[in-house]
Amino acid sequence: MVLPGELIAEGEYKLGEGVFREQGKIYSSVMGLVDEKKGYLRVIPLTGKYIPKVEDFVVGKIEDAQFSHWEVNINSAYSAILNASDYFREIDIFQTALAKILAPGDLIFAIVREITPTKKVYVTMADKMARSLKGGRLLKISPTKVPRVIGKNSSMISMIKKETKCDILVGQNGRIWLNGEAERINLAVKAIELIEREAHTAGLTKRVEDLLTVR
Amino acid sequence: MFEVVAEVKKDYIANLLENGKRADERGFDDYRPIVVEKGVSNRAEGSALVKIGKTQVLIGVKLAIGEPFPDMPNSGVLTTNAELIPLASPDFEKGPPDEDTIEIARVVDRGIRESQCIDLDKLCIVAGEKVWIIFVDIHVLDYDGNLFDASALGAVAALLDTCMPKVEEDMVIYGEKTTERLPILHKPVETTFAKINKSIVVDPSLDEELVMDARLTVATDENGTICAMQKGGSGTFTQEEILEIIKRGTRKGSELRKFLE
Amino acid sequence: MKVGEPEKFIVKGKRLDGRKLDELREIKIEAGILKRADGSAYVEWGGNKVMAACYGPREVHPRHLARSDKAILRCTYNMAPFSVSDRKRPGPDRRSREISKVTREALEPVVFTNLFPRTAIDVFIEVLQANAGTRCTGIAAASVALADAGIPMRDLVPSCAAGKVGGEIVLDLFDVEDNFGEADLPVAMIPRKNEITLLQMDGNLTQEEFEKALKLAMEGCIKVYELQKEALRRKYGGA
Repeated sequence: MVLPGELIAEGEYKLGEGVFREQGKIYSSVMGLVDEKKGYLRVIPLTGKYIPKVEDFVVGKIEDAQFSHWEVNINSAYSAILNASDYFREIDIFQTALAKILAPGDLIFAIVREITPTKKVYVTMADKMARSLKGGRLLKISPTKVPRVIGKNSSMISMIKKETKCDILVGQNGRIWLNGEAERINLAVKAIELIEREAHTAGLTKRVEDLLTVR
Repeated sequence: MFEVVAEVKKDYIANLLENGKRADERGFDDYRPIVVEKGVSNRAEGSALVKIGKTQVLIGVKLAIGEPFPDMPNSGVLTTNAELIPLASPDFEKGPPDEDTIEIARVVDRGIRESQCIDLDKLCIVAGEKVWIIFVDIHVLDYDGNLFDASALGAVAALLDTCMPKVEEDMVIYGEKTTERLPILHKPVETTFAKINKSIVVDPSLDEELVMDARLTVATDENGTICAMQKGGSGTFTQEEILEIIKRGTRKGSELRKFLE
Repeated sequence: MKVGEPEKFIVKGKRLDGRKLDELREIKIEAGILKRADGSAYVEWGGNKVMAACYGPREVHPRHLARSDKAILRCTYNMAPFSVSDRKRPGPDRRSREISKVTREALEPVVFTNLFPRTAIDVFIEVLQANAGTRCTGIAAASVALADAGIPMRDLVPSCAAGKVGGEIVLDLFDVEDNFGEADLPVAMIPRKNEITLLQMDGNLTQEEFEKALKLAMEGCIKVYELQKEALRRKYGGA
């Protein structure tokens, strides 16, 4: 684990998130774990807010419906915009008020389409995974723990889905939407909370499996 | 308040400095022309107008009789206040003092207080009950950079100009001044340096202040004792830079002090 | 002599609270102590108890304060009314506003504000119990809170004061020394670059004394720096 300002390398690297170069040396800018692959160096943060990246799936909450777009809270420093043209089916905005389709408070599962240099974030629902979320429960975890909840090749989340028979959508922004039988949702929530709490410890998969299969 | 930074301007000023030049052709250790005029407002017990280049600050001293602080029953009370009125700059707004204004007042106050400029113990009338209260009011008239040095210089000038008012039965008779002066022991002055990239210059102009990385103010008395310091701005200083500024500041300080004669 | 002023500050090389001239008070730092804040820290430093919370990057309110090229860093230093002997009137006074300003300027040099245009990073410092050196304690806590919030930074910023009492240059004044001492010099720095981000001074020092005090304060900062790092490692389980 490294802390802000800690020297992590010298020399030729492509720099990713959480690192910076100063007089030829490379330092960490956040608390996290150093990750180096094929000359690409980054620090995976252990804490912090969600920073949107293109192609991230996010669980968004509609804040406001305007004439031709929605404003979407994505649990980040920046709220996102969902244009009417980015909804998964065509809308005639002259005929239909957008609030009739998605009203403030509604949840959506969307994908980050574009981030401008001034950090305007656009999300889109023109993706077969995207949908609006009805009912169910919303769980919030630290965005830095999301990769652990998903697991390698989605192994962890697949196991939770299979064992609890719940419909679960994990947003990179730390919001997780669950739907299913109340008791089974509770079990899934327990499993996810366990992962969040013990994210960086060994034998995690086994403990989650135990939790899910104990009757 | 002062944040109107133009990066282009910074490049221009910084490039000049790297070649040893300032935009207004001064040397790195040169003040702009300084004028100190005392006795400019006769309603005040003491006053001074200070000009450093186009920067103009008027300082008035008012005296009143009041209660001492409980922990210092035998001492007069010094109160320093600043106002950056909208008259002095398009960037100044009316309303309660902002943090820049407060900082100026507090740093000037600290220089006067810590140097024991005024012998406050001589300003006790009845121990624990009645003492002289000194109000130093800094009124900025034209803001063209370096308000710290102008305000500090003007404050001491105004204190030196102050005559005690007449008192009858513990009532101050304003307008009837005696010839008695405030008990002044030391003459502190403040010198301010701006750091722009690697260059450090004294008495920053408005343009230099707008682009500076950091600022350091040093208050010294006539013996070269340092009595207050304040770093400002979002940049940094090295230890060597600070020690160098103190040397230069002490030297410039004795030049400034001549304006108090 | 003022009310309550001790006759001597240093007896046989020891200070009134038993410390050596170059000794810090006991310091405890804990990271991540508040639930709602994005980052937080608690510091006990001698008789000081200070909490710091960081929120952000988040949307700026009021909106016109937002900058299109960077995040704005806002620091608020506040003293609880019961944190000092004579109750402090609630709300910002001139002293706390000045401290808020110099605190911001002490932290700003390390924060990568350019990464988060149009947002605010807010730091709140709450003094719960005061015993001289609250601004240094606050900066030390704030820096840990920023790291705990995952705000990208060039380094942590430790802070520590040196001063002069009884004719001697000493590290980290406590209240009696602060009230009756001859000088106080709070410093904050970027240890990795040996650069100073906070420097204030009041009192009386010769050039030689100043040089000595600055060096001592910087050494104090390095000790605080180690404690800050330890606190973060403890919270995040790294060795």
